[in-house]
Formats: sequence, C-alpha cells, structure tokens
Amino acid sequence: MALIRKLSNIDVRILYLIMVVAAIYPLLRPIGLPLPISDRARDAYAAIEALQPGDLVFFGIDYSPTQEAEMWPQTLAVGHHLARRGVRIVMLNMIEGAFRYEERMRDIILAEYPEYKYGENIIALPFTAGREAAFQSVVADFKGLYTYDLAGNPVGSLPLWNEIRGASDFKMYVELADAPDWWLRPMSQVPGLQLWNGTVASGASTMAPLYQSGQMIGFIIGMVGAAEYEFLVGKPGMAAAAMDTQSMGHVLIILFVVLGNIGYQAIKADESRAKAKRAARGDV
Amino acid sequence: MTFIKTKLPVVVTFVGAFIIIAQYYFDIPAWKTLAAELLRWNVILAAFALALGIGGIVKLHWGRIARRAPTALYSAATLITLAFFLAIGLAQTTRGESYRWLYDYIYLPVAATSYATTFFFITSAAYRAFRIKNSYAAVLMVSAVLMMLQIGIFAAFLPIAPRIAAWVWNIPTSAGMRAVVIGGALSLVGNSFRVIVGLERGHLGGGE
Amino acid sequence: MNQGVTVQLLVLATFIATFYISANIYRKTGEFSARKFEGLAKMEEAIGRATEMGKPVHWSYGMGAFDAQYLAAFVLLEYAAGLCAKYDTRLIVSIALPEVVPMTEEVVRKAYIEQGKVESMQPEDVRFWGGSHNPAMIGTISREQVAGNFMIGSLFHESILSIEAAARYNAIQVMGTSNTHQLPFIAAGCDAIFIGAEMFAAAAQLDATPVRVGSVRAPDLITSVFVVLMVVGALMVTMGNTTLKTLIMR
Repeated sequence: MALIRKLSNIDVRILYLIMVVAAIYPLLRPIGLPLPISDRARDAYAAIEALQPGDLVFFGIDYSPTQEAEMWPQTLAVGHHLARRGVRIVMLNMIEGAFRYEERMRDIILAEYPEYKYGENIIALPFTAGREAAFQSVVADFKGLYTYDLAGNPVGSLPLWNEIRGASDFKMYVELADAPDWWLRPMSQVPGLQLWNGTVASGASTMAPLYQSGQMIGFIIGMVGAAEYEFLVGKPGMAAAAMDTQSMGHVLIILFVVLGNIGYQAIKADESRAKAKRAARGDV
Repeated sequence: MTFIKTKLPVVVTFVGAFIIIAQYYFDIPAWKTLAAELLRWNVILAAFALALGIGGIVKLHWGRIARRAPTALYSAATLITLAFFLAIGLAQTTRGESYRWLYDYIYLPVAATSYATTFFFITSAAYRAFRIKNSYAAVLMVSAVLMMLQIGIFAAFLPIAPRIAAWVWNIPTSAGMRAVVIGGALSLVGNSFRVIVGLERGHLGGGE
Repeated sequence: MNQGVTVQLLVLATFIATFYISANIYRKTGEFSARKFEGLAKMEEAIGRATEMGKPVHWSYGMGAFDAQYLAAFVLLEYAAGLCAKYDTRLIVSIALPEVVPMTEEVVRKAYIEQGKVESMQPEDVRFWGGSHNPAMIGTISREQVAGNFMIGSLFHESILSIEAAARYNAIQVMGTSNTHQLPFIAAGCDAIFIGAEMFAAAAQLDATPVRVGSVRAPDLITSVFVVLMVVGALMVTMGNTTLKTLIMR
C-alpha cells in the first residue's frame, strides 16, 4: 500500500522528464515502428487521385500557427499530390496567421513543378476575415470578394481568375482546418462540389458523422493522417519521422493514466475501509 | 438614444438575418445580390473587430502601467512589441522582408511552442486529472486506450488493434457525436432565433 | 425555391411554431421542468468551498468566436456572480474576445447589484487578455490558487490547459460547451459538465422566462421527431426502401 501511495504521488517533473526523453530519443535514433495505412487515408488519397488535369480545386489553408506541427505536414503532402495531378489550384485562407503557410506552399509548388505558372494554373488569395461568413461570401459571390491576390497583384490581371465564373466551377474543396465544421456548412451548399478535409486529431470525432454520411469525400486526421498520406504520396517527411515519438507518447500516456488510477482507486478503497471501521466502532 | 442603443440594432439584425436566410431557401436574384453584398460587409466588419481587439489590449495594459501594477513591466513589453509589429506591418505590409522575418522567426515559433506546452499539461492531466470516478469515465478511458492502440508500437504487436480502433471511431464515437451535434445545432438555432427576432438582448446590455 | 431545401424550410417553420406555442403555454401555465443539472450544484459547491478556503473562483468563456453559446454562458455567469456576491467570494473572469468585455462587466455588475453588494465588486477582476488568454488564464489560476474553475462557452484546446492548471490546486471544475471536440477532455477532467444543449437548458432552469423555455422545448420536440424519423428511416433503408430518404433530401 505504501508503494501504491508513492506511485500515486510521483512528482510531475519526473513524468515531464520521462516524456521529454521519450519524445526526443526516437527523433535522434529512429526506431522504425510500422505504420499501418488506414482505409480512410487510402480513400482520401483515391479521392484526389481521381481528379483530372485541369480540374479546378480550392485549396484552403485554415489553421493557426499553434497547429503547425500537425497541419503543415498535411499541407505539404496534400499540396504535392494536388500538384502531381495537374489540377488548377486556387488557394484560400480564412484564419489570421495562416497566410505564411499559404505563401510557402505556393512557393514550393512553383519551385518543384515547372508546369505550374503563377496566375495561369495556381492563384493564392489573401486572408479574408469573418470565418463562416467569409465562406458564405465565397459561395454567394466568389469573384466579388477579392480584388487583389496574396502578393498584391490585381486579380483581374491573372488569366486563371478570368476563367472562373464562380464557386460552382470548382470540382473539389480541399480544406486543411484546425477547427471542425464552420467551413463545411457554407461550402456544402455549392452543388457538385466535393469536400475533402484534413484536420487536427481533436477535431476528428466531430467530423466523423459528416464523413460517414458522405458529405465529405476524403478525410485525414492529425499527424497520423499526415504520415499515412506522406507514405501514400511517396514523400515520407516530418510526420512520418514523428510517428515513433507519437507511439512512445501514447504508451506513456496510457501508463500514466493507469498509474494514476491505480493509486486513486487504492486510496479510495483504503478510505472506504477506514470509514467502515469507524462506523462499526460507532465513532463519529 | 434608447432607439439607437436598443431598437435599431434589433431591426438591423432582423433585416440582415432575414435576407441571408431567405436567399438560402428562395431563388430570387435581387435577394441573392443583396445577401452577397451584406456578406461582403460582414467580412469588413470582422476585419474591424480585429482592430477592436488591439484597442482592448492597449486599454488593459496601459491601465496597468498607469496604476504601476506589479505586472506593469510585462504590460510595457506587450505594448512595445505590439507597436513594433504594427509599425513594421504598416510600413512594409505583410510582404515586407522584415515583417516576414519577425513573423517566421519570432511569432510562429512562439505560437507553436505555446501550444506545445499542452504536451506537458496532457502528461500531468493523464496522471492526475483523468480519474475513473464512475462507469461512464471507465468506458471513456477504455475507448481512449483503444484509439491510442492503433499506431506504431501497438500495431506492430497487435495487428487487430487498428481494426478495433477503426470500429470504435466508426460506430460508437460517430453515433454519439451525431447525437451531440444534432442536439447542439438545434439549441444554437433556438438561441440564434431569439437574437434575430429581438427576444434576446443580452448582447445589447439588456435582458429579454 | 432552391433545390434540396424544402424539408429544411419545413423543419425551420415547425421549429418557429413550436417555439411560440411552447412559450405561450409557459406564459399561461408557468410550468417548466428540466432534470437537475449536476453542473449547477457543483458550481454552488465550488463557490461554497472557495468561501471557506478564502480563495477566489475563476471563470472563462474560452477562445472561440462569439456565438449563441455565450448567451447561455452569460446567464450561468450571472448565477455564479450572484453566488459569489452573496458569499463575498472573489470572482475573476478571463476574457479572450473584446466584444464580450462590456457585456461581461454588465452581467457581473447586475448580479452584484441584485445582491446589494455592488461596492464589493472589483472591476479589475474582469480581465481582457485577447490572444494571450491561455497563458494569462493559467497564470491567474496558479497565482490565485483558485478553489473553483468554470469554463462555459466556445471552448478550444484551452480547456485542457485550464483543467490541468486548476487540478493542481484541487479546484472544483465545471465546464460546458457545444464544441464536440472538447467534450472528451472536459468529461475526463471536470467534476461536472454541460454537454451542448444542457447549457441552454440550465440557463432556462435558472431563469425561466417564456422565451428561454420556448427555445429549450422547441429543440427537444424537434429532436424527438428526428429520432422517430431516424429509426423509421433506418428500418426502411435496411429493407431496401429509400422513400423517406428521398423525401427528406428534397
């Protein structure tokens, strides 16, 4: 019992140290644990693979810098896949703080895929405030919403912009968002627009019913989803490298939950027994 | 004055909401044009709300400096940083090199790091706060463990683990979330309806 | 009429009608019952404990955008502030959104006025933090060693930060949100929670008016209809009949 009490009173700094070591070690010396690719990730990959060259695709990058660890690897993997399919990409951004990710992804596509010429088959549009209302504006009057692109060029000077009539011209909306569904409600109003989502791990359960009902055609979750997608695209990167760390973290979290609850239940049982003894003795 | 403070906002809210909602149901081109214009105005208003935040921050921290509160030094640092970023941003826009440098090498790492502290909080929460106090909590914990078993080290030793996790995600989790989302959405509709028709004026400083 | 929205319009019309009918029934009969919410009892317990310990109580709405959840949160804040005023317990409010600050000050002041203790209200305890809400909230909880921690509103990842910070001081924690992605965290770490619609029902229970009762009863009745439709629809689809499904998609 003394040992159990000790186990339930470990200084949290020791736990932090264990977690830090468990997180850093696999990054320095990769363990190489297997990563099974889920059916969900394969279906998401197939959805983008089904796009034809020249299809118009919205590419929304809507996460704040706090979510960079999970979402930037997703952005890279999905961005590469879209570029490989040769689709015409219109990048959007509705979260303050995400414009740099949009710029970086645009620059990566232009640098690594010579067939992409800015303004002809890829455009990056600036941050639009209002969140769900901004998406409603995209649906209601996409062309009226923007005057300049992310680089400050008048949109009228971009050939791709002049080819677009409205949101209904688009085949797919690929949204990488840290908040669950405020983008999906407006965008689902566009007839024929396929919705594809990458989100953080904590948003997965909220989006699950929407994916199952068929309102979304593809869905990847968190860093695991990013790692799976990296393997499917053939470009293992940051997320794949972090999977060993995530595994170790999960093991330790489970261990800490178990340890904490063993101690809690033991102390509770102890107190119940003591209370029963006092009641039997007639003590107040 | 009472009309401007209490009645006019209600009228504006109702008219604006009616136009936006009606254009969703009815295909009237003039209405759709008006709704699109209103939505564009909303985007402008939302941008100004960000500026309102700056005013709030300045007011709070200037007050602390004026009162020589114990944290006045931190408030001064906040205001100086705010002024600096603002000045660089206004001078160069977000495309300027200095602004980008500050953004990429100061703001982004600090923001990502502040979220990364959740790593430590989750650790100690797992040990201290996540207690199995009743049967519902026990079910929650078992489900959480099953979900965590689907990657890496567990998948290597327990090939069935990812399939169990997928089942937990697809069936009970989705079912529960579906119910919560439907219930929550209907309540939000109810409360939003109250605001639209002016039955709820808490946001205007009144009651009902 | 646009495509695919007929049934949605019908549901909306039914909702509005049910709302007004329920509100009128309450106006005539004054009868409204909802099950007891453990969250309300825990809030009172937390404030009582804070009073005994001489520690403050902390409140936050979270960092989410202003939506209908805040309206329920205002009522619950008024309840908490009223209790704090009654027992002379300090209430510290941390706010992330600027537009919520005047409303919060108004709500807290109103609660103190109703208890006749407006002079004991400390305006500097209603604190706007903006983007630095999370570290400021953790700092407040740690420095003040709060005995009660309430977070009701549009919560994001700050909920887990708050739970852990307050758990160090064994604070009684009550949280509530309609944001489903935070429900697992608050369910695991809090003493009592309000899940989605429960916030609104609790607000109606605290201060039942025809409007609040109507906006609680109408969703309840519509949800019951949905449950029936779901069961019937699932059975029909299982037997190969998609009539109901096609009808609803109109």
